[in-house]
Amino acid sequence: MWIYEKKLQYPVKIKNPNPKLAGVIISQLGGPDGEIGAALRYLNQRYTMPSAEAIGVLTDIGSEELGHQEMVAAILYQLTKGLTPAEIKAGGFDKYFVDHTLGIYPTAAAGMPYTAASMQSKGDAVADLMEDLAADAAILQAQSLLEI
Amino acid sequence: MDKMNKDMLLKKIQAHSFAKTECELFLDAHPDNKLALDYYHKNLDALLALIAEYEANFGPLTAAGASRERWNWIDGPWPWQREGDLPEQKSPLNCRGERE
Repeated sequence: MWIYEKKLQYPVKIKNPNPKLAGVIISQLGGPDGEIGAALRYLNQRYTMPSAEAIGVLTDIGSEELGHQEMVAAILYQLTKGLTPAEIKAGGFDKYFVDHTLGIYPTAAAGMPYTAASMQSKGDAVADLMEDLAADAAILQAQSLLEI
Repeated sequence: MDKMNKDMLLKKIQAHSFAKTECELFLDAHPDNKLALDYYHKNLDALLALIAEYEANFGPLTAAGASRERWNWIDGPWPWQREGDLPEQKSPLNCRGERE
């Protein structure tokens, strides 16, 4: 059971809207290795973990990842706030806009909606934890790419 | 209390809350670590005091902290919004999709 705290884990105060950036950062929300994927992996793998420590860790990290996806959604919300269709088109965000306008929709930057097909929960502790390591390494790669 | 105090207080809460979260993760894997347990509870005491101060002045951080006079839990701004950025605010675009 979850409690919601009405605050972001870390503040998000975007100064200027930027549809181009939003089109890339969307993967941190709904991409195969984004925060929603992280939350769903941990929160679903925890049920069959063989130790109390493992269940505790996956439960608490999974819950924290829900807070992370909230921050990414806040970033996207502020990056696209008040944009006109012309500004959106100029920023290359028009393909997303036609189906979602400024709504927050979990999808990858290349257009594939979030899918559990990109995650695994196998009921085997080693396999599940390796899956988590791979996903986290992928997030690190994506984040360093975003700095380019 | 003014907005500057609200922001500063919230920042302190976010800092202590982050420490709380990370310490929980450590304790999950090291449940008998006395040093971590002690740190966790010292930090939690400070956090709870800050939350009490925030909720008394600026509104609830959990639904349980809502006022008894009216259900201010739903009041904006919500965490992804800025001050003055409320749902009922009129759209900045006119019917032709142009900025007013």
